[in-house]
Amino acid sequence: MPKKRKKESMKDLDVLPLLNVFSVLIPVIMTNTHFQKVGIVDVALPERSDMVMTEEPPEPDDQALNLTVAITNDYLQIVARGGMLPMVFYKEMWTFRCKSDNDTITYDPSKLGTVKEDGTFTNPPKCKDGKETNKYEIETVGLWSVLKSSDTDPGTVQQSLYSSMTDSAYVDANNEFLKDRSGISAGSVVQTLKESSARKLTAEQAKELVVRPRSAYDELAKALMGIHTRFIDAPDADNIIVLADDNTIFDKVISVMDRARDSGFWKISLAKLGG
Amino acid sequence: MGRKSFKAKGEATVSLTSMLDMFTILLLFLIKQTDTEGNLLTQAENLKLPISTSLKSQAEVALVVVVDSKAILVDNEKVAETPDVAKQDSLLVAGMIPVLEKKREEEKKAALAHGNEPDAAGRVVVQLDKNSSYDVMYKVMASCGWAGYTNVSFAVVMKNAES
Repeated sequence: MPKKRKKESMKDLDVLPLLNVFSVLIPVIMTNTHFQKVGIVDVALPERSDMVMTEEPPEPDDQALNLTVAITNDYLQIVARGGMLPMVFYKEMWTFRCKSDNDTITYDPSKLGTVKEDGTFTNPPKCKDGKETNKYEIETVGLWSVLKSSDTDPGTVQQSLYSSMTDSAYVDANNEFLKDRSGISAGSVVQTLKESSARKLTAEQAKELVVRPRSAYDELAKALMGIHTRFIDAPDADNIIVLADDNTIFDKVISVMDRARDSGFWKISLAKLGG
Repeated sequence: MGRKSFKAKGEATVSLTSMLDMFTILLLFLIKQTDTEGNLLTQAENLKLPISTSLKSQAEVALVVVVDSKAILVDNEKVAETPDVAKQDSLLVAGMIPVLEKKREEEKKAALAHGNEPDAAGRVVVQLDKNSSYDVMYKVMASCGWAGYTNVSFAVVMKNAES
């Protein structure tokens, strides 16, 4: 005899217990979540200085590269055994994040006057709503690479091709900066200042290309990568000293240290310019 | 013209499906962000750390020195005013030295008690505001080195780990 099936009305799945579990899980996981991860940057103390109480100073090595990057108010310069590379002049630009409207404003620091003890300026930058900001609200410090023909020349800001999604400047196969979009389209092979970064641009990536002021840090990274490749056999091939003057802000020092480390100089020491 | 009258037809139910979808997405996002290794270093208040491409996390417990626009703190103890340190000519910060030396002695005793090498270099992590001057940073670093903390690291916000 064929069995008769009884029609039952369709019941909705009871999602309430699952919702309860989620309501408990989400706050628990939220307490262990870090939206900003704090890392560290190691730095070596100078071997011959007041900072370390060593008994005997080390003997100077004639074969050592003694690579040093100097940060001044106007330029970055690489100095090594036997000479120095041309100065990378820059124009410093400060970008402030306004608390009131969360918008950014970019200023030339030379037009802000002097910095008072509390971090305010004599000619303070103003947000769109008229509120003033101070030194401690600087979000980014940009160094625009400037090309100068002489000391008296104010120079012109150099431009480079960048991706709008990342901070990487594009270079060609000869490691020269791409100045504009000419000849670059979807399918073109470009690379950044990192090893093995050559890639074919997709149509979307080609749309994201922007021409903007070239970063002096990129100029520095390019030069350091060349030095590291050329002097890989030097006894201190991984060492670099970062020199800066008293007024250099810490953010600039960390950016230079980043470029040095990314170029292969992972043992970084700090020293004072003229001190 | 008379008004239309609405009569309640059965029981009204709340659809929880869309809320469940939202919770599922939120849960997956939070699980992705969760750090199962824990975090030995926490960013101090009123401090903007510089952003760095460094991928190194702190692996060992270390003494923390915080330098903000107003004060210098060693292990949460205020030892000096930052504007005063910026003005001074001396390379060493007088207020920091006795506190650091005391901490170093304690660390040496603890190392001996655990059978470790007491003279191993002390480790310190310096949290500096990104807009601090190089002069203040150098003086703090010099004071740490003088007191025996020669393994110096700076705290940074990891660029590639930003959300």
